[in-house]
Amino acid sequence: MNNIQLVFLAILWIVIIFLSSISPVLLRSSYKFGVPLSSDQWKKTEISQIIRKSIFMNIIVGVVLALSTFIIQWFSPSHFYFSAITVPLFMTANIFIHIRAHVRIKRQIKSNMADQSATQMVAVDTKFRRELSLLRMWYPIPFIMIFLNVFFIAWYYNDIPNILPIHHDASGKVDRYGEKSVGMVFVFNLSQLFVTIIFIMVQEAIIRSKQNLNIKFPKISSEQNKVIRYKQGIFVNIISILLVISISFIQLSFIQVIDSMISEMVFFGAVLIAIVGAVMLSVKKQAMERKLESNIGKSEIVNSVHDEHWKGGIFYVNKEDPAIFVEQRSGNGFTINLGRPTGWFLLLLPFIFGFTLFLFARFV
Amino acid sequence: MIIRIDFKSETPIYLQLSNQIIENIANGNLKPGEEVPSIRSLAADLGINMHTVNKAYSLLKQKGLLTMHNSRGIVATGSHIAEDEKNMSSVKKALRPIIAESICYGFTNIQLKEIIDELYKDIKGGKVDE
Repeated sequence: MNNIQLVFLAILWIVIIFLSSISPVLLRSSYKFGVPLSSDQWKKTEISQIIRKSIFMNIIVGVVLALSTFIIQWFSPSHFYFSAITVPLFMTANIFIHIRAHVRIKRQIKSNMADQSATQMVAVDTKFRRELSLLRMWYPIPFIMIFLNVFFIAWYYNDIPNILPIHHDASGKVDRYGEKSVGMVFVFNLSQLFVTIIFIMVQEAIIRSKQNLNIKFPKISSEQNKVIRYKQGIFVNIISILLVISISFIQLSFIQVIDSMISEMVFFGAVLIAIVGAVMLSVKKQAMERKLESNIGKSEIVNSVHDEHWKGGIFYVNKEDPAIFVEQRSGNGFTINLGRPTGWFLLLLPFIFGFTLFLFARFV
Repeated sequence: MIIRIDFKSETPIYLQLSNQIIENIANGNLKPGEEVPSIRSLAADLGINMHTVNKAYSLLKQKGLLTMHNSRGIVATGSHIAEDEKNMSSVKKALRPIIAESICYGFTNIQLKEIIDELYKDIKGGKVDE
């Protein structure tokens, strides 16, 4: 393992530990660890203590795991990325810490009994999706691109070399070759198709998920949510198109038309734009929420609607609710209603896609 | 149109829903011929069972305030005739126990009329009941 890779890994770990530590408390101002709280409540010593301890615990677990990963990686002769095991391990630990904090904060509130008064209301703007559904006009673009790509490659299929590199070692040298096959060449286009479908799913989540309007000022918060979601939607569309393009480049380098340096640069460029854009959008969302709060005054209403369906503050399980996508309570995104079979299916979809890609490249 | 549902209220959810749609028709927020959201999407937004929304919509269809439209789904009904016998009798029937209750509390005829005037103005002006 060389130094650049180590630095890259270190940055990755720092970012993961940092984000997972702050997201349960900072990203949604009215929830702490998925519990709806007013600022009076969470500033109470018992609750703020639980919050601080949990964040601290998360950081400790993260740092310990990160350090042990580095030590193992340093002394191990293999090229295996041990972070591929320890990062998911850390994510799991993070979920347990979250649930623990969630349960303890809830118990604390219950024992104080002060909040039988929490409201349970929902406000809905019936015209919320009128402009948002315009985002669907972007859908054909990646499909047209994929179609043109397939057409182009099929046209020149006979010119593609018969022996193709299929595996690289850690230093980037080709260590295995394979014979050209339809599956091997077009698996890239199938993966473009799957990526596009997954991004359409994300887009639908942005359009369809619950409005989460401020119950005191539904009109203002509806306007604001619409603006944020519209931006998120356009961003997701752009990223989806960029990924399709970069997979095309990877395919071109695979069939030896362009140098692999170029395709790598395009791919990392796309990933970089995705990360920077996501951070910028998140910051923007925070800023807008703060602005709304300062304009209409911080609302001290604790809204515990659907609380009983939020398991551990992370998982939404509601059989009655026909909604498939809901906004997260802890963090900055969407989650799936696990009370519905469609929800489970969507959760499994990436794995089904991955398996299909493997079979396609191997046997077609 | 903004719809607000209070899960802690004594009033059943389908009634809260239908009452608010009626008010929005009354104050012109929901114009005749304009569609209401589909049962599925409204239920998903509110996080409630689709049957509940369906119940509210059927109630309003029964009252003749909503109608099925072939291409646009469920829409607010076009025109009503106040002298329509059915409407008249349904309004009378709904008012009767309320007026009786008010008489028990000792409201006079004039006081009652004032209340009606005030509420009529509020509803027409789109003032939301908190």
